[in-house]
Amino acid sequence: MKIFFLFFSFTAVLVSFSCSQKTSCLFREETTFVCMDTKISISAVGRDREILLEYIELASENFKFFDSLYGPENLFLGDIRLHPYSVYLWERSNEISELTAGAFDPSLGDVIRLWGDFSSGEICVPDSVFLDSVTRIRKSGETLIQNGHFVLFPWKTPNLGGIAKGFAIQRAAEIADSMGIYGVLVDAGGDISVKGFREDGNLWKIGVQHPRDPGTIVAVITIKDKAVCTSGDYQRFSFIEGTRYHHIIDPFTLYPSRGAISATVICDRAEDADALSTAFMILDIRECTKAAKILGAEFLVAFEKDTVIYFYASPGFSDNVSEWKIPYMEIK
Amino acid sequence: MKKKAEFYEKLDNGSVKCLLCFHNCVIASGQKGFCGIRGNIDGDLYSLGYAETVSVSLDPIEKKPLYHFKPGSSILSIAPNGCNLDCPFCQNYSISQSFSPTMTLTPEEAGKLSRQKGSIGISYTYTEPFVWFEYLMDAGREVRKNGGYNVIVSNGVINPEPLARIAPLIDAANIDLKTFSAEKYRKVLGGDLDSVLRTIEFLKKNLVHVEVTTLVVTGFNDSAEEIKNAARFISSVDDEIPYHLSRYFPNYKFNAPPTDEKKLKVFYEEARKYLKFVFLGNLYDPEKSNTYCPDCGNLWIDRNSFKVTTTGIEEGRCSKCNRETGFLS
Repeated sequence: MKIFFLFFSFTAVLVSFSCSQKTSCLFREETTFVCMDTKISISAVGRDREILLEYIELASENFKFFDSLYGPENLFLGDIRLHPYSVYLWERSNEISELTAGAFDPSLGDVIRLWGDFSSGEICVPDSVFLDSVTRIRKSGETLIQNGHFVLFPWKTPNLGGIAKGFAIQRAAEIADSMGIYGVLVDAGGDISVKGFREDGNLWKIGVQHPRDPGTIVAVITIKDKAVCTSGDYQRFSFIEGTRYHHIIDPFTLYPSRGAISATVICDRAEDADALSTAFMILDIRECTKAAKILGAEFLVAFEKDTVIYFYASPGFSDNVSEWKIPYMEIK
Repeated sequence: MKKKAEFYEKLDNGSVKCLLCFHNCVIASGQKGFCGIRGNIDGDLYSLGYAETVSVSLDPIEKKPLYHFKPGSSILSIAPNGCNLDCPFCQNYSISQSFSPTMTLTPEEAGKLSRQKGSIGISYTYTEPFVWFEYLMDAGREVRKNGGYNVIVSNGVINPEPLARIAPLIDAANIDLKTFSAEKYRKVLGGDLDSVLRTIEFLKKNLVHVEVTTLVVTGFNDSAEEIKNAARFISSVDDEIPYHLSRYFPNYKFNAPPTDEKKLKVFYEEARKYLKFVFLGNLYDPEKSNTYCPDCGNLWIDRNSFKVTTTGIEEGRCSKCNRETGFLS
């Protein structure tokens, strides 16, 4: 579910709010560019324009760094000694994998390569017997980190794409901490991390997009110092003979997941939200609830049944929502 | 040792139909199939040569030949006592076409041996490994558990389903493309060209490192046209697949003289028009055994007989123009 950041016109904001008592003379600086195979937007609010610009430059550099390691070529694997971020992401991935009963799997590198390139739509459905054999082989060993580098097990090559983007926005937002910045919103293709406030003193607002109707917003989320990430079957997908093949691979079947059609997760840390949103595309609601409780996350998942879309929200999800635009069910 | 086979059908009269390769042999009770190591025991198909190897030896990987898979490494090589083709010029006929003494090497033993004495894994080679299907599955898993690679050197004649089952266990393969004529495959070799082409395509598509070899046999396939067709096919799969043209020597039922060296060099040039990496084998010509960067001509790997020196590759890239090599060095 692509999440819209609701842009408020800068000039309008200046007229109505600038130099009010609470938020005297706050400015907003923004930038947008393409990195990590997606559109990145960074907005920063503060009193000093120069500092804001400096922050935006640092945060942009941060994305380029992540792209160089965890982009489509997975160059982090070639490091003679793994970068500490790679070690952290691998370990965190495995913790989340355990919490989600294996639904989040950071070792699908070869399997994803086998399917082809979901971004460009150049994919081919692998042979079913082959995939079945791969599933069995994957159970017989593990990829490990030893002496600072990966010892790879075949068909378990690390691919940190399901968590690295989340970590990149988390890091980008954290850079602001030491710079005296009033508020930050970092958006990487719908995965968003926010800190502080907008220039009008209000919280950042984020629209959750409807998975089958791009023009409709399901809910408006209002959060502070948190992240919201969404996974869905409506991005990076192709139709082959009427079947939708999307980029989230179910580690149990090695086919694109056939559970939820989108999953939005709100969590303190963006890398956790990113990984959980992937796992929640695969797990059923009960398992989602269990994993979310342990990590203190809230979630909204959408299921499609006979072309009707049903939204299910975790009990605390509504606390982060300022406005619901579509009916939903709260999980008891 | 024997083990119940996979991929067969029971027929009404106590016979079985083996579904491993295109022969689809119908085998009566007490009889063996074309390959000589899969047989019918009381209405069930068994792998009779399970874990029975005719040889255990440590070879340079270049001997397989695999030139773009861990160059300069050694690999433990084992082989079953059978083959599903009957090539009249077979260079290993004494172990592929007739009964040979074997020793037992259980999958567990194979796994342990695979990483000793500097071996990078196990190569199933010399004869036809696919007819050893059940052992390949079991030993392949053990080798993987020990962190080794599985390498097969095969004629590529196997049915799609067993191939799909075994392929995820294979890291690298050298497939023989003995001729580009379906008729010669059928009539002279007892084989099937379609199976071979399908195997090359399938393995490549499924991330296995593939190299292709043609044994250029005097009077059988030593025409520029054949080599051209083969090279064109390989390049249609991927023009970076290494293609080995090997010199033949009289053996088994063939007494034609060894392949003309001059002809081989002409074929080399012909194949180079379509492929980036072509090599001559069983022939002393260091220049045509070396690997050069296809973009800048930098010498990547220097091969002098089996003395292999990687000179122009740094961290998987050309040391001169930074082109990715695209293979495991």
